[in-house]
Amino acid sequence: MINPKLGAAALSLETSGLLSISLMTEGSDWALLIFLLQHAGASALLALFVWRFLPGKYRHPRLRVLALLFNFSFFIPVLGLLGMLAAVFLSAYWRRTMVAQPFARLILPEFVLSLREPDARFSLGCIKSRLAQSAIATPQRLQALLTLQGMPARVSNPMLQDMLGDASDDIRLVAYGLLDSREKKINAQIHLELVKLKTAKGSNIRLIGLRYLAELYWEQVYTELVQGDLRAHALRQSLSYTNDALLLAPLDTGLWFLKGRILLEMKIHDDAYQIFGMAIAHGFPESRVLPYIVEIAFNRRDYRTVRDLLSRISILQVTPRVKGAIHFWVGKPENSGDSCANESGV
Amino acid sequence: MKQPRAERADIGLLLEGTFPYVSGGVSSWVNQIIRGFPQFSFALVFIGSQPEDYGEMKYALPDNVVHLETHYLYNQHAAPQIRPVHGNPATFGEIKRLHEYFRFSDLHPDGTETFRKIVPELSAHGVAGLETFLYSHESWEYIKENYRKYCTDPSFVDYFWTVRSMHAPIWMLAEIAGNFIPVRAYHTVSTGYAGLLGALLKEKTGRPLILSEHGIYTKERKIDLFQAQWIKDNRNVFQRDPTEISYFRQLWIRFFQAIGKRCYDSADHIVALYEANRLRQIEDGAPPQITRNIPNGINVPRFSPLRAQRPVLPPPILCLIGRVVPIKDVKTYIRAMRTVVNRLPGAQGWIAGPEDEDPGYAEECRELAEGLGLSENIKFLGFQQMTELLPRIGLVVLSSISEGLPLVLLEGFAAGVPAVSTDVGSCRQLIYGLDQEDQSFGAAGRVVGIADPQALAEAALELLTEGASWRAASEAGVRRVEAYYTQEQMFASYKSIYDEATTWRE
Repeated sequence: MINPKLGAAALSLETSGLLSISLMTEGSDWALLIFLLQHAGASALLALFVWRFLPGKYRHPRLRVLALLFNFSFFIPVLGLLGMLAAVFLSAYWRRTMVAQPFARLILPEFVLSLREPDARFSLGCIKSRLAQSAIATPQRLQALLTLQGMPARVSNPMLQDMLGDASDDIRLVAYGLLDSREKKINAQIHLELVKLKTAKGSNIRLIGLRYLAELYWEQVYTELVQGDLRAHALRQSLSYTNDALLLAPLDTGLWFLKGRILLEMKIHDDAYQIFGMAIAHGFPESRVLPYIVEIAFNRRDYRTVRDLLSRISILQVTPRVKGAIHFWVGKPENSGDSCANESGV
Repeated sequence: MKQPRAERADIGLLLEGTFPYVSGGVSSWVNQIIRGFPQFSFALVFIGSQPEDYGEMKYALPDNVVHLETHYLYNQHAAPQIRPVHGNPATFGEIKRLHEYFRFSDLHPDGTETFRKIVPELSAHGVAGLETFLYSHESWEYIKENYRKYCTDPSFVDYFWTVRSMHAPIWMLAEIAGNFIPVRAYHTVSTGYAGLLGALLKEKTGRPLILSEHGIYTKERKIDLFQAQWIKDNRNVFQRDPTEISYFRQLWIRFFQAIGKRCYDSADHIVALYEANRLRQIEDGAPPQITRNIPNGINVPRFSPLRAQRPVLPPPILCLIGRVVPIKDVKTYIRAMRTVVNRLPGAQGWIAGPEDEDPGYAEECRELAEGLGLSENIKFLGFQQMTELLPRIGLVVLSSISEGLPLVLLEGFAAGVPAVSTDVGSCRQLIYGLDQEDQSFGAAGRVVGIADPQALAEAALELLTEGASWRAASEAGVRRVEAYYTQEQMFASYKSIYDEATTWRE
């Protein structure tokens, strides 16, 4: 901080010292002493004046820096001051360049492919058989169980349900935890949608809510999260929301298809058959509906229809699993034998 | 309420998250034990997570509790001022040996010796004090070394802070141990932090350490940690192995295993409630020769007069008695009630227990009951007096996913109420009997798999609708509890342990 008073005081003290020595011509020791005292006072003030100019990091240790500045102006009267001012400006300049370059150059780090490899990798596959064999050590079975976390719920949920009756406490509890968190997630969504639906205005918004609720309840059944009476309850809920949604969107083929599947799960075959017909009539791809109609025909023991329908399906693109059924009922279709063979090997 | 203070006591009870601030099975048991031994004075150390998690005391302190101190591990403590500390390389050599002993205990049988050497150094003036852990160059180097050697998670920052926050309570426990009043024996009701405190106290004073485990702490922690959402996993898609749980999860699990093992190694008596748990303790490193089973016992005469009040036909009222918390799996019970009500429309499902421990879960349960259309049939009663509740109900239901030896089943039996329970803890033993003689009393109810509402409902319906099997189960329960699970038997077993421990080295 510039303090003009300090500078002015120093200057006037120095001037008066110089004046007094030039006026006292007879050169006595006293005159010299008076001059030196005044010069010392001026130097001290000057040192303080310049010290305040210095950037913070050069000000310490305070006494020593002040002593150095004092010495400069005391022993080298005019040049000392000039030198000090030059130093102040230089230090200010240096600081600026340092601020301007906060980044340092570093050596490129070595590229590390991966950290320490885990000790033992689980061999691929065989999860189900490992889980089923209680002779295998619990930690290994626990690993297999944790693998299920990454698998689709429809595949892993029934396996987790089986593990609830396992002899090992750890396995049971982890399986329970996994199932519980999945169930919690769906239930929380259902609850949220119910709350939203209560306040929903406008048929579009209502339709979205109703459809989502129908799908969520269906999801519980589809992923086998619920059994017994609760499964029946979920099916009833899903059906009821699907019906409500269909009232708002009677041309929605996806909803008709969902309704058909719910009725099929409820084993109301006649209605399901009729609804699947509606889905096709509204434009739903026949190839996706036919396998379910085949299932209805099979449940009615109408095996002729099963064969007829499957031969119709056989020319369409179908999943490997359906291909196996076609193979059984219709005979080995041309150019698809390989995939069946593969399928049976899985 | 003012906490009593004393200069000395007979037994130092080390309690983690239980009596007197939390109600529940273990707390009732602690209360029972303290009141059962009026000839001994007790000094209690309560260890909790943070003060906000606990309200007022849930129990009136018995007269023979002469000293109570409460400590919270995750309280905001003022960390020591940051200043460079010189770590002693020899100390870190010992710490490394201790860690290796925890990692591969078979290869390092001298772990107890190493632990003994380090314990006195954990104090503020020791060479392994908190400051050394937090601020010394050696500590930093040691953490780096371990990260490079073992960690499979890419984030060093997360590793560093996981290690710091995981180990911090150790010094707090060391401080508690340093200031605790002199007692003649220590008794911890779990492993975990309380168990480690017991081990530290044992090393400090040489007084005997008794461990009574109701559940298996390490196992329960492990299950929690498998599910915990707060543990980070920074592995990318190439590093992730679905069969391998994240390194920090492993680290936390191993930490609790290590402090559990330390407690087993220091204890003079290790008590389990039933055989399966005793075997589990041995599997986790407890020396078999000092383990034993002491089943819970109840005050049968308090409940026996209630038998006269029970009706000839079972009232269609099921009751789950317990705190409304996830481990009790109240939801499975509510789901089972859907089936029960379908077949027995007048049936009632009561839930008797406090709901304040996990209000979120209690709310979920209410929503579930509503969602299943059971608002009329499910009743949340809150805390109830057992002697008033038991004569009115037909069945005690336990849908828990984990239990020890539940007192509520025994109390129900004593009052002539049979039970349907999940196959957890010692429930099978309580309902069907342990040895041949015990089994000859018959089944005091039914046991079903966990999280199987359909099976739970079927079993309950069978008992409620067939008067003869209900009466037979009721009779079997009464005979079993009178023969094997009385308070007198439990007190006699603990008396021999306390007598031996308190006179030891006198």
